[in-house]
Amino acid sequence: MLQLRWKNMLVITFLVSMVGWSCVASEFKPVMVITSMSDAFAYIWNDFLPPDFVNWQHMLKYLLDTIYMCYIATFISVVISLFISLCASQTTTPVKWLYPIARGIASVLRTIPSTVWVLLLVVSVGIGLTSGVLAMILAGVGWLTRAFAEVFDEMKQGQMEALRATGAGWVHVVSQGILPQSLPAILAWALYAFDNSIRDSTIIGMVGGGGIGFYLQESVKLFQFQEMTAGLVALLALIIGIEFATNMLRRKLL
Amino acid sequence: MKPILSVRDLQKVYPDGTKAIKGMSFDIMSDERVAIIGRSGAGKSTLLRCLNQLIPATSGEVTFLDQSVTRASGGAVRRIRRQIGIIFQQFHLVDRVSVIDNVLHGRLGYMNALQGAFGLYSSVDRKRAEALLERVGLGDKANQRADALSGGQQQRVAIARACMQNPKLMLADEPIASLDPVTAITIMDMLTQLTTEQNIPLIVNLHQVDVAKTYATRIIGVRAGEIVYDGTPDDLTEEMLNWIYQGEVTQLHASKPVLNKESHKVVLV
Amino acid sequence: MTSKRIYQWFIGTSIVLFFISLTQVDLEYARLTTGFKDFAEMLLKMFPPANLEWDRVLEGVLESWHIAVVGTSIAIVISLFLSLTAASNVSPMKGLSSIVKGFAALMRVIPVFIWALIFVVSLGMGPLAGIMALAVHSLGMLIKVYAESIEEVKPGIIEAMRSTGAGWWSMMMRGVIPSAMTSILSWSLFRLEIDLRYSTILGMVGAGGIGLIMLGTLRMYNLQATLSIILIMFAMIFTVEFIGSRIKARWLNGPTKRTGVTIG
Ligand SMILES: Nc1ncnc2c1ncn2[C@@H]1O[C@H](COP(=O)(O)OP(=O)(O)OP(=O)(O)O)[C@@H](O)[C@H]1O
Ligand SMILES: [Mg+2]
Repeated sequence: MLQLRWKNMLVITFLVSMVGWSCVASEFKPVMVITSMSDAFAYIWNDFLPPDFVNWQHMLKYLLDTIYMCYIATFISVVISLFISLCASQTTTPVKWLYPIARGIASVLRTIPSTVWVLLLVVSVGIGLTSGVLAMILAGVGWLTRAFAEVFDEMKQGQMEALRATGAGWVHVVSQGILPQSLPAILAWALYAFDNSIRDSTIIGMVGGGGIGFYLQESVKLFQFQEMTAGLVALLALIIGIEFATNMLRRKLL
Repeated sequence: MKPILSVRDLQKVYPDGTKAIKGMSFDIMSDERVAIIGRSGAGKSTLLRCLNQLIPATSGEVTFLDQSVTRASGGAVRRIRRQIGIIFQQFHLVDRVSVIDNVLHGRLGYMNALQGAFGLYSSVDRKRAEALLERVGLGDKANQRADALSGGQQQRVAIARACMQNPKLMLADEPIASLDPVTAITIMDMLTQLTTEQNIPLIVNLHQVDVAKTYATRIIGVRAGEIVYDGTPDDLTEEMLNWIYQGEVTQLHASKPVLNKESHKVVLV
Repeated sequence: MTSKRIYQWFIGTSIVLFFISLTQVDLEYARLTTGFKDFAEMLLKMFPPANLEWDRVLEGVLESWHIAVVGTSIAIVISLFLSLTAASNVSPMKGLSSIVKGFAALMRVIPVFIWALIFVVSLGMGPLAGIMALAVHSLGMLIKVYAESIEEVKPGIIEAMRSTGAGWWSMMMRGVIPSAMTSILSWSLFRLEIDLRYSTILGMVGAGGIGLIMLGTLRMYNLQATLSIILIMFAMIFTVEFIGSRIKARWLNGPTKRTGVTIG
């Protein structure tokens, strides 16, 4: 028991000194929570409020772009991920050596943040939707592959073998056995991916990938803070709306 | 002699309209051990909780040591509650903290916000908590986590916690309902001994009529929110029991436990 | 409708919507193919990763971590307090619970990069903006999950503490928080993990850390240095994920099902 107390003390000391070090190193003082909060909220109050919807047509275009962009990117990511994930699950991979490769691709794509992809794409492809969509696809494939592979992993080996025993080839086994079986889980993940991409689109747009994030960033650059707030309100409505819609669909489907 | 607790025409209606208590009156003297018996849903738990305002009464009057419980509010409620110990069926210890800390929680009512929040108990309190743990036979478990204890041991910690409050009245809501028969007897013994020593009354809700008859000096029978019997265990007839329980008497033992008046131990005969 | 029909219908609609979407946005399809070629060429040009000014990079890495640690800590302290007012079973006032929960929901639903943008505008570029952005956004999540953990504390424990006459503060600090501690700890750790990941990229909107350095090298079209920084970010995120999963597996029965949480 006493030992446990000791350990606790050690852990607490460690944590406190970590936080202390971080505060000192980033020149952060606890009072700054209050000062910077009040500064920021004063700023919000004076410059960002109330939202200004004069440019609503302009804004709406970006908003719609966001929806299309996320939809296209999610759709393509799901399709690509399906193929890669079939290789990235030990249960379903057609050839053994494809497994580590598929896993590797997925984990590299997943670990590199989508913002990095956008920044790189903006340099080579240019600012705009095209870069945004491509970045979303790259990031989406990364984690969807893993999610799908986990779904396949959970399938029982026996079912695969039973199908194989009938002499069916891999394509047949996959299309007749595996995909129909795991369809609900795959669709659930796809809906989640769409949800997620809408939230992700903010930052993607902010670093040059088009859509509502781009609109927000531009408004700030032009010091049109109230228009940015309008965009933000619209974005929040969109996020909540899409979440609501996907939840409904999920309940219907699953 | 003045009663420690007096209840007058107590009523409780829950927000959903359930009439749990429909006018009860009784007095409790300092040397009494009262068992409240009744069917499930008769209103026993509700009654007990009205006595220290864990549940606010709808109407009527509860007086504890000359102070009104029913009309108390804020700090006054806390001052009343700390003088009334209460034991629950499910022990309700804070699982993740040590046994000794759970006992010390009994002092929180006597401490200010700062002392209480940071657990700055006085050394007198600490000594007393250790002594009480020793008393309930758990001296060696003081630094264990409460959830590492068995049910009977946890109930003993709960008793120590209640005693830590220096109560002037002890309440117990089915203290033995989740324990095995032998452990149940130890717990009842302990409650009886401790309250007798302190010369404070004990009010205990019980499901087992035999246990109630063994330990109590007075039995209150409750049926559908009303007191239908209030008297000595000896006068409690079979017909009365049938009336209280509507034909569903629960027996703890096939054989009959009897309290040995000298040793305070119960033997099965 | 049979469930099979529902699925067919759903997939069919999805495909149709996909093609409609394609016609609605002005994706430059020509650019898509050439762009992909350009992109691949650029990726090749990034090799081999270049040597960097290591002291500056190290500074950036550390700054990112500091931003995350300080931001999360602020959020933990504030949320611990506010969640006590938000949890419906212990909240000292009736209406307060829903007000605090509403506040948390608003903080949470505004994306962290918007917070970063707002703080960069109002406080200037640098780590402070990052710290505040993470603190505010984490606050939104932590208040909610802490309050949920507190609401799961057994009502009997609270009732027993009340019956000793303990005051509100004593009850919270001695009974309620210890009871919810495991869950509070694992959520805090989970949030630190998220914030550490955010902090590596928050710099891209001017909020300090390694992200800001990457923005610089990319602006100067120093591709090989950029790759080095990407590799460092990769290593940072990977380490965090690895350590996080180890800790969770070893010490905590962490928050349920967390797969699929991705960040910008
Ligand atoms: N919070 C509540 N809201 C509404 N009705 C309640 C509430 N608590 C108890 N009741 C009702 O009040 C009546 C008395 O309940 P109480 O818990 O006091 O009975 P009891 O005699 O303790 O029963 P048991 O032996 O099962 O513990 C029951 O009809 C019960 O359904
Ligand atoms: Mg009861």
